Order: sequence, then C-alpha cells, then structure tokens
Amino acid sequence: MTTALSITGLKKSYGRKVALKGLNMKVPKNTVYGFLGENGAGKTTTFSILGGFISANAGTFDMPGKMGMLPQDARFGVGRRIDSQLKILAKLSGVESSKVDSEIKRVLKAVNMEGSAKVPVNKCSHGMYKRIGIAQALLGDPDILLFDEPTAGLDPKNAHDIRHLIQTLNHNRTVVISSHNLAEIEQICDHVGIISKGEMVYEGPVEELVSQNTELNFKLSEMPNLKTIEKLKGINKASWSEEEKCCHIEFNHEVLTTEAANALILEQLLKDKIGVRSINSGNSLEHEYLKKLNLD
Amino acid sequence: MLLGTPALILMIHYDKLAQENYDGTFRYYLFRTSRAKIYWSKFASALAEIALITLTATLIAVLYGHFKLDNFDTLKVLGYSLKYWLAGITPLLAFSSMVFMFSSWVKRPFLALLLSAATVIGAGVIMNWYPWMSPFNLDYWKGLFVPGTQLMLNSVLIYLGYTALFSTLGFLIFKKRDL
Repeated sequence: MTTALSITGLKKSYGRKVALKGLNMKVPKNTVYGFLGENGAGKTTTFSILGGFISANAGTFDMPGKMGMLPQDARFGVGRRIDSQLKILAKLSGVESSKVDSEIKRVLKAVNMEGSAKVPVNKCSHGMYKRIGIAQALLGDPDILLFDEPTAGLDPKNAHDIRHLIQTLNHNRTVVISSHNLAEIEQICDHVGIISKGEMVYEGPVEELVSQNTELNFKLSEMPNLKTIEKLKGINKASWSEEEKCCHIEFNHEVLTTEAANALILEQLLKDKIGVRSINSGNSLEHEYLKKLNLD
Repeated sequence: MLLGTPALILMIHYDKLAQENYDGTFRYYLFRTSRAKIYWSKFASALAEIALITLTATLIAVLYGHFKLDNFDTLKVLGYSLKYWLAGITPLLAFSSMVFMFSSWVKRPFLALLLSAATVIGAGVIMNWYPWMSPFNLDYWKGLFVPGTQLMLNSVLIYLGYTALFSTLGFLIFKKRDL
C-alpha cells in the first residue's frame, strides 16, 4: 500500500494536558480518509502539527507531495476581495505569476464561485466562506488535502454541497477529513481512523469496519405472531423491537452469508404473509465508532 | 520628528504579527511557506514603512526651509538632509524591532502595545542608573546629529546593534512558538 501520509509516534502536550500520546497513522494514497474522534481527542492538534502551526514534542510524519489545507479557525483578511486574497496565497503556493489568474479562476470554478471573485470576503455568507477556504486549499493543485471539519456550522443544503464537492476532489489525490458527522464520513470516505485520547484505536477501510459484525435489520409492516418469531429465531439469534416493528438479527457471517440469511428470513416472512418495509444490512459507522470508543 | 515618531511606530507596528496570529490569518500562510520568510518579509515591510514616513517628513522639512544652509546649493542641502535622515532613522529601526519582537511574542495585539509601552518606561527608569544600557539614552540620539564624528558612528552602531538584537530575538520567538 502506497501511503500519502504516514505519522509515527506523534506526541504533543499543552502544559500538563496531553493531547497526543504517540499517534500512529497511515493514509493510503488516493483515498478519502475520515479522521474521527471526540472533542479533544487530538484531531485538530494533529492537523495543526501537519500544517506547521504548532510543533510536536516527539514523533515524525512523512508527507511526500504538496499539501493543501482547510485549517480550523483560520480567517481571511477583512475587507479584501476574494481574488486578491487568493492571489497572495497562490503566489505563496508556488504558482507562477503568469498563471495566477487562471489558477484563481480554476479553483473558484471548482467550488462553484466563478462569479464571486470581486466580492469582499467579509461580505460572504458562512457557506461561501467555507467554499473559499476549500478553494484556497486547491491552489497549486496539491497531492493531499487536509480538511478540518469542513461542514461544521453549515446548514444542511450547504453541508450537502460541500460533501458533494469533496467527493469530486479525490481524482488522483488524497483527501483527509476530520469530522464529527459520522453519517457524512460513512458517505464520502473509504478509509477511517478513529482517535481517542491522543491514540489511534482503529484504522482501516470503512467497509471492513462496518461489516465486522454482520447484522440484518428488517423493518416489518406488522408484528409477526409468536410462531413466526420462533421460526426466525431458529434461523439465527433474533431480537425484536415491538415498538419499531423491527426484527434485528445478528449472525456470524462465516457460518451464514448475508445473502443466505436474507433469503431464509424473507422466505419465512413471506410464507407467514408479513410485509417488509425495509432491510438494512451491516452496522452503521456510528454503531462501530461508539463500540470502538467503548461508548455504546 | 525623532520624539514624535516612536509613538507613531508603536501604533503602526504593535499588531503586525499579533493581530494575524489572533485572527488566524497566519494559518493560511504557514503550511505554504517558512516562518522565516513570513517574519523577515513582514519585518522588512515594517522598516520600509518607517523609512518612508521619516523620509517624507525630512523632505517636507527641507522644502519648507527648516535647514538654513545659505552657502550650499540645493543638491548639497538634499545630501545633508539624507545623511541626517539615515542617521536619524537608526533609533527608529531599533524601536520598531522592539515593538515587532513583542508583536511576535504575544497573541493579543493589545498586550504587545502594553509591553512595548512598559519597556519604554522601564528603559527610561534604567537610564537613570545605567545610561549606556538604554536604547533611549538621549546621548546616543544627540550623537546622531554631529555628522562626521566618532560620536555619530558610535550612536549609529549602537542603534543598529539594538535592531539586530531585538529582531533576532523576535525571530527566534516567532520560529519556536505555537501559532
């Protein structure tokens, strides 16, 4: 596996408060990597070290290639126009003077803000501000993008647009996103790292994490009778939520595949004329995340 | 000019680094370039501002005839004026470097202003006991206006020394600190 970012034994303390206790992290190249953890787990500290805002007490990181970043709590200068802000940043990113204007057009187009180049930054809405933040990260066509809570504080429409935008960014590029929104991470990331109290507790593909303990959830249109329940229990260990009319079945996928379990349960339900409203397989990222942090 | 300008410098420079740190604007620069580049380019622009302000003031003084040099032609008057300006600017550079150092040290711009003002007062107090230690020693200032003498050279060297000291300390602080 080629890595875009590799962190080894990263430590950082703020006085007596330990923020990172020897963090190890490997981000595979050309993936969208979700960096998860509770408040104060060490996500922003990690990003701040990578961005050069703070220095680590110990440990190393290796990030070959150019980096773009949307830091948390970063602000643009008040009163300046978007294009003049981006001009300075493009030059600092090493964009040739003759290509600065076209580069600014390119990144503004990428965030759907082509018509807003002359707008002063302080006149922008929160959603626009985030987009400019992403636009500046794209300057100079970096190989790896680090986004620290890119949808924090955004309304659902703007958050959806930013998520969609991020999904379009990882062509031949690695994207690392820190977020508290687990549904968002599950939707857009293919790898996750879960950090707790300054240490990595899980790292790997999202698919692997959510299928570790296979589950099937059948939402039924009515409660089956006891006879049917007994028969279903015979297929596998099943639990019932009468209130939600939900049949929850956990099984060992090494003994019974998802497809086989699905077919057996459906056959039984159809035989007993019990309607099925929805079927979900696998665990949610939220469920696994809480499990990893021992919070469930 | 020399007595009024330090207050102006204080007002111009106290937030040069501290304000950007406080606002978080630095975060868009730091992952793109080195701290050395940020610090020294800001420092150079701050000194250039001071040089331009004082040069403008000197030229205005020349134009309005504050330098009564009847036996010299215009070019010679300008030459002397520039020499005075170059000598007179050295304590201002030292003062700028000190304000800049505090601006790189603290996060809240107002604190940089307070620390700079407190240092000026402190240096004034020191001057009573150890005059040679204070960058605001009036003997050094006076020396700047005795052109072509060892006194002037000493004064210029002392102020350039203070400039180097404050700017280097400021840089070391800026390089090491968490932003």
